[in-house]
Amino acid sequence: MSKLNHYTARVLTGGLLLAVTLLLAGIVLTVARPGIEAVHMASVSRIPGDIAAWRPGGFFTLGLLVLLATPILRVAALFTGFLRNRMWLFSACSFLVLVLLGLSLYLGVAA
Amino acid sequence: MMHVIILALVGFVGGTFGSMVGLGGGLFIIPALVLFLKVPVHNAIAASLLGVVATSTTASAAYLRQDLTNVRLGISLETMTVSGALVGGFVGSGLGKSTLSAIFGGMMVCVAIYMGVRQRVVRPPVVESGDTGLLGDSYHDHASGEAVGYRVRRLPFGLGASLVAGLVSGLLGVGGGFLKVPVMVMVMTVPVRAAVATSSFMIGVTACASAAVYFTKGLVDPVVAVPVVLGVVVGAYLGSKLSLRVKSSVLTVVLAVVLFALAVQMLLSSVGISVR
Repeated sequence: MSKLNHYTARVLTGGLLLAVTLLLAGIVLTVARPGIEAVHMASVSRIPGDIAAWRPGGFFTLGLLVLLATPILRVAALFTGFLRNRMWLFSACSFLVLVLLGLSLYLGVAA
Repeated sequence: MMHVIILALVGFVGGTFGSMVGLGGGLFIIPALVLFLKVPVHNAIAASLLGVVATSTTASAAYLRQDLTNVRLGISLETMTVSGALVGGFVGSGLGKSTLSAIFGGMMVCVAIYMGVRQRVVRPPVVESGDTGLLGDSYHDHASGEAVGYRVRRLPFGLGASLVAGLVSGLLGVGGGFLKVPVMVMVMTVPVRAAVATSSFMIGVTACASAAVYFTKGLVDPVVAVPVVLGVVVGAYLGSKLSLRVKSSVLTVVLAVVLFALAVQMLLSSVGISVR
């Protein structure tokens, strides 16, 4: 289990570092452009345009999305790890959690 | 600017304490945002959920490296927790501010009282490292220098409690660790350090399911969420390092007192009485 634990830790750390980097980039852009209007609602559809125009809002939203995706990636990592170790019951549990998380996202978007 | 610093400080405190006792920090973050910084309650819950994800990710990465986390138990309980969070996320976003404040305040009183008497938990029975069963595990206790093995008992109760914890998470924007840790310790006979690490591992996924709903409903305010999250990351990293050095009993009592005070304020605000 120790190998699986360390592999999962690396997935979590990688996602966290990427999220923090994006959030810090947004802060740097905010400080560098005083007077820029603050965005009070995270909008996924604005990410590409904001990133291309170096607007902080896009970096903030993308960073928060990456943070939100990290636990999901962690579950996916566990799913593959349990499969590799032939721990079928726990790989089934991991798969079920992934399905429920996907359902949560789908229902949220549909609502 | 001062507003941003205070938001980050709120996240820092929540992340530090939360990571040390297996909570996400939402129980501190939400009342601090709502009562002292006048953040609208649904935006506060959304920011708190993201903060819980950050606490969980940061702390569990550290605990996984120390092999404290029981990933088999964690993934098993997560099936019920995520189910509860899915339902709670939809119900909570449709409730009024006063109702949410009343629920939250009541839950915090229970948590504070529980944490205040936490020293009365029963020690789990000692088992050999190789006799831990399907869900049990073992870890190296740095304090005693010995390997600690344990079996997991009363799984059905644990699954039921995880469902409730997930529901509460979705309703109130917390990780549910305040219910998961005592259930694992007192009912499932998991040692405290392993329970804290496993709870930290689970609450991120619990909060993620609810946070996704708030995100898609446009309730995430980056002006609030970003400083809180960054503060949480720093605090949770520090907290996971401190947890091995500070007696959890001391920390628990301090947190219980703070939570009780905040709970009273939340309950009063739910009936329209402001204490500021």
